[in-house]
Amino acid sequence: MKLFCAQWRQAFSCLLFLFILFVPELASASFGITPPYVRNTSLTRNTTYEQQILLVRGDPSIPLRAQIIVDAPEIASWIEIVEGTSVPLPRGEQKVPMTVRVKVPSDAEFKDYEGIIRIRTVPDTDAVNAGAVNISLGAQVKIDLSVIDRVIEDFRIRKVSLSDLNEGSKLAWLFFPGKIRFGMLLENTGNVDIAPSRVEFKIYDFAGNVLLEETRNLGKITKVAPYATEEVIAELPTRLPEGNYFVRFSIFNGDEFKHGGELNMSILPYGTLEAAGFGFMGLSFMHKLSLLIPLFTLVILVLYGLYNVRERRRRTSRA
Amino acid sequence: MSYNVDNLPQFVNTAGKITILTAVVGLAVFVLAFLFNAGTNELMKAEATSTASTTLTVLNTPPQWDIFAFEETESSTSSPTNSGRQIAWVGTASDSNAQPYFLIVCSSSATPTARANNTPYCNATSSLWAVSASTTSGTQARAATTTTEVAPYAELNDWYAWVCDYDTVNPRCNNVASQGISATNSSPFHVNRRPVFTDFYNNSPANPGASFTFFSTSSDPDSTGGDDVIRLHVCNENDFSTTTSMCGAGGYIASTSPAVTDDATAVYTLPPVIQDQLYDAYGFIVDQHGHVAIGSIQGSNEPFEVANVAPTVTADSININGGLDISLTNPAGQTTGYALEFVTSDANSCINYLSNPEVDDVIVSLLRSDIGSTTCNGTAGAYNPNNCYPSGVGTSTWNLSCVSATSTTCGGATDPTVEWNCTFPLWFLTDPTDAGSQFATASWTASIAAIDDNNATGSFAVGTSSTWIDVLTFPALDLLTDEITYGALEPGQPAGPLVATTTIASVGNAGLDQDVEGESMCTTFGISTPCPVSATSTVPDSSQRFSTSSVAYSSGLTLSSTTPFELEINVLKSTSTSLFAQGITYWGIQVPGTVTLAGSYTGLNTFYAVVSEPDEWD
Repeated sequence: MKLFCAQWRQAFSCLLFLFILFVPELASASFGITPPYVRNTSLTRNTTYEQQILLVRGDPSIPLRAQIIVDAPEIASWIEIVEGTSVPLPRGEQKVPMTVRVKVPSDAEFKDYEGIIRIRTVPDTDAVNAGAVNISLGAQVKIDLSVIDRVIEDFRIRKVSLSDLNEGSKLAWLFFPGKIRFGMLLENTGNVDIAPSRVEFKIYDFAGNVLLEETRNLGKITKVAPYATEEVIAELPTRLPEGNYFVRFSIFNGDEFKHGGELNMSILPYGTLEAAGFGFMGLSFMHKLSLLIPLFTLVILVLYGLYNVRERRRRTSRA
Repeated sequence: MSYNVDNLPQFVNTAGKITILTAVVGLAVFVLAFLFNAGTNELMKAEATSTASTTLTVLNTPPQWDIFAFEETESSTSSPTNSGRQIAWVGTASDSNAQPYFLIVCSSSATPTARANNTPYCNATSSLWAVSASTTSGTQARAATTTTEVAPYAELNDWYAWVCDYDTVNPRCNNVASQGISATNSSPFHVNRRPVFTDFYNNSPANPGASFTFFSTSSDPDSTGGDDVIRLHVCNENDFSTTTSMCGAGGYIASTSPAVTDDATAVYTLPPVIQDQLYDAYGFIVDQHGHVAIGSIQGSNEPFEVANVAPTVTADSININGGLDISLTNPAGQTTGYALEFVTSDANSCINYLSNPEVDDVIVSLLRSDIGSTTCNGTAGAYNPNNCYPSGVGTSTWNLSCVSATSTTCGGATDPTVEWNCTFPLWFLTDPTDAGSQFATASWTASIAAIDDNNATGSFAVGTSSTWIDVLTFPALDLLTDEITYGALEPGQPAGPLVATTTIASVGNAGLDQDVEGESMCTTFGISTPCPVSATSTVPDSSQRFSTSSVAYSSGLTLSSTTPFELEINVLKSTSTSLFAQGITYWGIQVPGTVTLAGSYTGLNTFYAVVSEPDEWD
């Protein structure tokens, strides 16, 4: 070997030789799962929780089946494998999702529950090598659940996004502000529907030195179901003209500051994007009044006129 | 009397003749006048009675001022006449003879001289400022001249206006001069001379959002009423208007404020977002009266330079895998196609002046958060497939692919931001960070620095904690052999130590234990057709024993088809992409003596991957 490796020219060949010697030969039938658990510590009665588990294998050239056994005596009736207890692992499919659905009954005790789900792969054709102890690969999923009797309102923001927007526009005396659409990928980590209570923006000049505007979301933000992860949108008005700005955002859960950060924001000239701005909701209080007062006055006048006409008809009919 | 005819020939020859001729002519004139009364109308201005005649010659009289002359447009300290511009005087005079007249403006009080049938002229000690055209008596005369930068024009110029006729016999000038009729149109008139502009430069380059100064070497020669002040105007184009003293359609860059007497400067604060390049800047000096400098420097182009600044990455924009936790799905290999998104911001805009991307490269490290961006710093040496994926390692090792979405997310030269989209693979052994894993207190994040088209590299931005995601635990196992071969055994033959082996490898990202279960063996075994319970033809599951070492058969754990048994095999977590952590299980079997059916027995054992305790992963 020493001689073999003596010369630099042969060094690469030497390394390759060693590599081949010591790399274990795998059977290419590898199998794994991810994640290896069904875990939720904030379940309440009558709730449903789903956990997707991926069944993966290294060589999908042979069709297999995954046989699934739930070993959780205390909660066996709560647990359902959506795809059934025999999940096909087709040829060519390296990963196959399996969904574990947990339905907490209305009379479930408030306590912790544990169990195991065993998954093993077997040939789809039942074929085995005769005269030997064949080996099937599998994996174990740990079940770890807690049923509690209190409401948890909590969430985690996993991603934020801020789209470009058009600047506001003027119609007669009314100024319709630009609409900021602030996206939040929200994971509901509690056990009731939830959405951010409010979103606040402090908008600075591009250098982040001069505070130009403070604004907060108008309208309600769509709620996300327990244990789900969805994108929700907060819409905020801005009266700033076109330009580039620096934004410090704050997301609240109730009065609790939940998440904050900094982003860049571009406001484009009005009409650049095919995106609607704010309508009546975005108008300032005074502008709203300037529309509503004449409208209400008109309605009152019409009603008064109708009342008078009716009274006249009544008098006429009496006469 | 004698004459020297040689010396005076022309006189001597006519001597005496002239006297006689004069007498004859005089007589003839007398006769003509007496006999024919000739010249009564032509020569006589006054005719006396026939009995007595008196002659009187009434002389021409000069025009008289009806309205004294004054400056048509005020020329004063506050409103001087710019050099090169016209100054005019107007006044009205009447002539008793109804003859036309001239308005003449001179620099001194010496009365000008009228001339018959010609314009008057100023006294020798005086300069002529202007003289009007012949003007009808009783109408306004206007005299004008165009001022210049040079003599006889000075900053202050006294003027005296006169009116003269041009009588053929006795032209006269009125000896009363006018110097205006009010404070704003009176002598002297003021000539505003051009400012002097000899140099123009700036102290750029400057960063976007920063200020720099345009300098000039400039002054103004006028000092009456205090030194004239000047301004430097810098225009985008050479379109400065001398009429409005403003830049034209190209627009302003900067101007002096407040005005100064010398060396005017103008400060320009660059927009917060502006491309790095040279920009034209044309300089113009204008004095307080809107009079511009002349010469080669006026209107010259002295470009300013916007410096290149390094781009940044918005930490909160870093997004890995859409904000969702990462699931590895390729045992012993790389799982591809994970997404990394982020936004770069460059004060030099998202596109350069050639309309190519301003930010054209990035340095990316994907790392376990507790490793830190100082250790996992983007260089190849930091590469560790367990916890640090730096882009410096090269695509052959870590196939990171990043592109900027310039065409779709860059809003033009004033937009600083652009989105980047990357895809990357992860090895099967990437450290998990979810609850219950070895690094449960950590997460995965990205550290990113952007590089612009001038190779300026920004500082690394590490995703804020809210953008962190977990890599999920991925227990996966593989076999080096896919069956247990016990060989040929005789029923009832005592079993020796456990010598058959199976080796499993951890091809996921977790340390493993192994749950084991197995079926009974028989010659008819099928997965859907378990062996019948038979003492003679079935080797029961409990006949197999297993252990983590080659112990005696009796010391091995008993296999069960109904109750999997966890073997603390403690396979470590693999930390190398090519050398997998392994664990060996030793097997033995004892064929019951009751078995009488000879043949090849078949069975099925199942190895379940179980995540071991995190402290047993390494």
